[in-house]
Amino acid sequence: MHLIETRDLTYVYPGGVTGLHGVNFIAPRNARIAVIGANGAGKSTLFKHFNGIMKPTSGQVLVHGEPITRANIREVRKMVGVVFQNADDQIFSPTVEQDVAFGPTNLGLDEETVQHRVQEALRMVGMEDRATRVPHHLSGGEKKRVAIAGIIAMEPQVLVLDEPTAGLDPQGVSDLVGFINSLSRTYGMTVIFSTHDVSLVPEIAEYIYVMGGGKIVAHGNMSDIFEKDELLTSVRLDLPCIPKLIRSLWEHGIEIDMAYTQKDAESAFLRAFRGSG
Amino acid sequence: MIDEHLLDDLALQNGLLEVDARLKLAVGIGAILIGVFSPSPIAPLAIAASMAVLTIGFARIPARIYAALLAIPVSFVFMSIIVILFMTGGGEPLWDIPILGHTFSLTTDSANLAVLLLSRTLGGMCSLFFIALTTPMVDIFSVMNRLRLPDEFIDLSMLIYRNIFVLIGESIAIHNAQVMRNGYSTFRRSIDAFAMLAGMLFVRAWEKGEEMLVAMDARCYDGKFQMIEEERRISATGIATATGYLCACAGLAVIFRSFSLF
Ligand SMILES: Nc1ncnc2c1ncn2[C@@H]1O[C@H](COP(=O)(O)OP(=O)(O)OP(=O)(O)O)[C@@H](O)[C@H]1O
Ligand SMILES: [Mg+2]
Repeated sequence: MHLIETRDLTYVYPGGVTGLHGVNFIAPRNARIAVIGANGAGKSTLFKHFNGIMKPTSGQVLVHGEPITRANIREVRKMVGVVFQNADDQIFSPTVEQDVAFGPTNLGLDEETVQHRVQEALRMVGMEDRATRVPHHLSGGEKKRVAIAGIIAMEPQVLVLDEPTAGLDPQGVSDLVGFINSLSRTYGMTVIFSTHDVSLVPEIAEYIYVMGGGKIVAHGNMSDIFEKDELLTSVRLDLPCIPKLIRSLWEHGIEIDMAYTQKDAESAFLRAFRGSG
Repeated sequence: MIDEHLLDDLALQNGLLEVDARLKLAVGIGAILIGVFSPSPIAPLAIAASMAVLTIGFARIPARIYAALLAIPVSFVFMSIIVILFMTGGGEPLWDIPILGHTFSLTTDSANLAVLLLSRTLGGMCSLFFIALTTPMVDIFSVMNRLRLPDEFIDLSMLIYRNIFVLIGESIAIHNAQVMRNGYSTFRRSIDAFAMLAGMLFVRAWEKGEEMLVAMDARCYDGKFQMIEEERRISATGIATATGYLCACAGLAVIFRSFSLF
């Protein structure tokens, strides 16, 4: 049984715009999934279905094999934590630490556990020194970090992040990559995220969904997706720079293994150049 | 200089931030009560002076901002004083002013009442500004929580507090966007632009409210906010100083209870 599954999920906005059209999406346990697609492809709309914020016009959303109903919606939201795209709207408490404490408190945890989780979550996103700040004194990227901490502190089984790196500084992005990978490895957390930064995809994800026009146009692992140039350009996306570079080296007749992450690329290059020279 | 979150911003960086909020509230509220009940102007004036010293000297609130803030209630009180001086009577006449065939007389009682009113207003406002400028809202929430006020009341206050800044932020953002595109260049345009701003602000407030609800639901909201507070004990010196101060004020009020200027 999959943690999250959608079956022929279609969503039509009240105004008549079709946000999603027959989406079949599967998130197995402990997966790290990237959802990529141009602006307006339907990523945010899809993510809002994962915790029952939006209700399908037709089709189904299954969490642990169960459709989301009024009766289990609290359980669903406990399991599936979604960080929305706009961080501004997600912070509503007077201080940063109170905001991060909101979720755990509402899960009914005792004060000590809440405190512990808040400290831990703030440390992960690098905001521990700004815990007592008021939200209107935060920068855009800092708000984003707080919003992420607010969900992490609930320790959901599935962490859904809508454009988590938008607005983060480079250090913030690599911190994010670090703690997402460690959450996935140590707690077995399932991670689903969307991004326009294709270079980020191989660093976190192992599986990719490509969306366009409210549909899933392709899915597969790195090599499946990044092998097909036409596919990516047809949905207004581009190859990440490492596979792109290796491709152009191939065109120059240089023999080198394909790689997607920086680490793999490093060893591929070393093999290629040390081996030949 | 005076921008959108002035009072709260100042309070968040004031020199007395570390002093326990309960003490500051007790001193402020106590001083207001003593000032209001004092029959003579001496105690309220002493309170006004000492509060100003506390706020400017110890909390390090810039004197210019403090004066600008105080100017608002003071200008109101001067307007009322003029009315009181001529409309109330009793006691010896001090000064007769003939206007249009009528004689308006200023008597000792009316002068005393005017002085008392001025001093009480000053004392009260200085104490209120002391609270407002040294105690951020966030601290007041935790005091409310300690006082066991209803959770609904506190949660609502916290949401309102946050949303005030959201709304101010939105209106500034819309206003800036309009100014950048010449929205206020002529009188006609500024009327149009302002109408649009007001309309947009209403719509945005509505949307923000809904989005906030969604965000709260997504984090399993079931009617609980966490109050973060370290269990702090008020220091003995703090209690002693506050009590001493309030006693001194009360003492002044009692000793000079029958003092009057005229
Ligand atoms: N509130 C709404 N009302 C009507 N249509 C909407 C609404 N929100 C989004 N849409 C439409 O639904 C489609 C999918 O939007 P969605 O926000 O899911 O895109 P996205 O993939 O998240 O894009 P982005 O990369 O810009 O965040 C778009 O065509 C958009 O115009
Ligand atoms: Mg989106």
